[in-house]
Amino acid sequence: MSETTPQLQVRDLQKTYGTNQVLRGLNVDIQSGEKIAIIGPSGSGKSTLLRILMTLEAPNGGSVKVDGESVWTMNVNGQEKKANEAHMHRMRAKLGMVFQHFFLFPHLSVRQNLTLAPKLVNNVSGTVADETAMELLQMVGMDAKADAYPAQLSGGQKQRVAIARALAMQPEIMLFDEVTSALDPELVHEVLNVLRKLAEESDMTMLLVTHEMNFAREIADRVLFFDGGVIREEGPPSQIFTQPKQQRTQEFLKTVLEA
Amino acid sequence: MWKWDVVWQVMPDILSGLVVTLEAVAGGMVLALLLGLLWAVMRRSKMSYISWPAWAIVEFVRSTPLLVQLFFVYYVMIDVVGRGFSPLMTGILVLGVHYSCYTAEVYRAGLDGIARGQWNAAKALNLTPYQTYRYVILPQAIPPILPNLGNYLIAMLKEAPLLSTITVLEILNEAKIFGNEHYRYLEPLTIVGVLFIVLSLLAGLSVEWLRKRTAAMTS
Repeated sequence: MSETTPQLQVRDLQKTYGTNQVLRGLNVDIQSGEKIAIIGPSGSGKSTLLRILMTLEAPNGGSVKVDGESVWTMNVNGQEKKANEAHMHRMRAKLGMVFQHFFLFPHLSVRQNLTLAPKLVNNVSGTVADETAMELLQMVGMDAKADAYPAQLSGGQKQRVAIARALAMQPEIMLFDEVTSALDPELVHEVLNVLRKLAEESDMTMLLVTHEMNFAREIADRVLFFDGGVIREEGPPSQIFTQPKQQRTQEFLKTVLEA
Repeated sequence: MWKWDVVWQVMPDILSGLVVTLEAVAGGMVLALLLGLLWAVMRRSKMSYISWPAWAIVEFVRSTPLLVQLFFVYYVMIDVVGRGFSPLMTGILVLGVHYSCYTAEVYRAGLDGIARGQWNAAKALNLTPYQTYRYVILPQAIPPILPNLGNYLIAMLKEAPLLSTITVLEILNEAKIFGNEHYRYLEPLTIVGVLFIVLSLLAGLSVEWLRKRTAAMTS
């Protein structure tokens, strides 16, 4: 793969819920290893983009390519057809996602939450899955709680486990959907610390939808400002946060930074 | 009036009938639990050629009486095909299919109780639909509905004497046959009644125990 082929290529992406058009022809290229912060007002399509990338929702139009290969369509004897489940399964393996509300599996222990998918999907042996799980839990500072159940954890702890669970599948691209928005203010920093470490130490591509402007500024290589279902402005954080070109960006940053 | 020697005389027949009744209910319940889950899962499918048949079967079976279904499968099968299943096998099949349409509704409630996010999390981890049901959704959905499923077991137990109408030698039929032969109905039918009370109470207590256990587990 040449360096110029973006790892993630989104073209003219459209998504409509009923009469509400959430994505209006969104375009973006993301290079392997980039740390991308996605900011913007609520309803601007930030989470919808991540959900479509993770194949949790189907777009109404446009295309998504990962490593140059279309996610939602496949080539059958020279014809573009709707992707089948096997194709989607293969494409999905490149991505991992962390949700605002964690969605840990409540009937499984922390360790089992991390080992379930590697064992079932990647056919990793139980011992290897356990070892990887413990390493990841150590990284997010949750190894002491390996045998606890999700209900026994605080929000910040749950989210750290959810991050480790997604990492256990070894994705190339990680999607973080407002992962600190559901947390009590005093628990936000422990999750941000984990994300910071990940951003610094791993070469994974990271897309973070976030309302933490200071954090976005600190870790992002590039900031995308979503507004009305398109990317209104993008650039390095130093430019976006200090000299935004678009008036909508200026207005948005004024409201959130003053709050 | 009441004669104890009649009780001792009829007891072996009634006990053998009881075994048949329990066989029918056990078999019917296993079938009802499996098929009900199948209908509930099929009905959730986005593909109408999967969800529609399940809906049609459930609605059809629930709108016709159990007794009619028993007669139809037993007698019409013999009429049309020339040979049918044995009476007991017919009873198990009909009881199972009939009650599967009620357990399907219970399963549906259980599945509806699982947050959308659990499905999304499973999908983001690339689990297949089967793996998602097997390892993520059902282990959460089933414990809370166990008591409701148990209630249908009790209901099935109490409807099992209907199998006597297709000549299954279950508990009521044995009592009736004894009565016809000896012109004594008081003791046989009383014993049948008492046994049903005992069985229903035992089943009710187990369901209550289950309810407490699952409540403790899910809280």
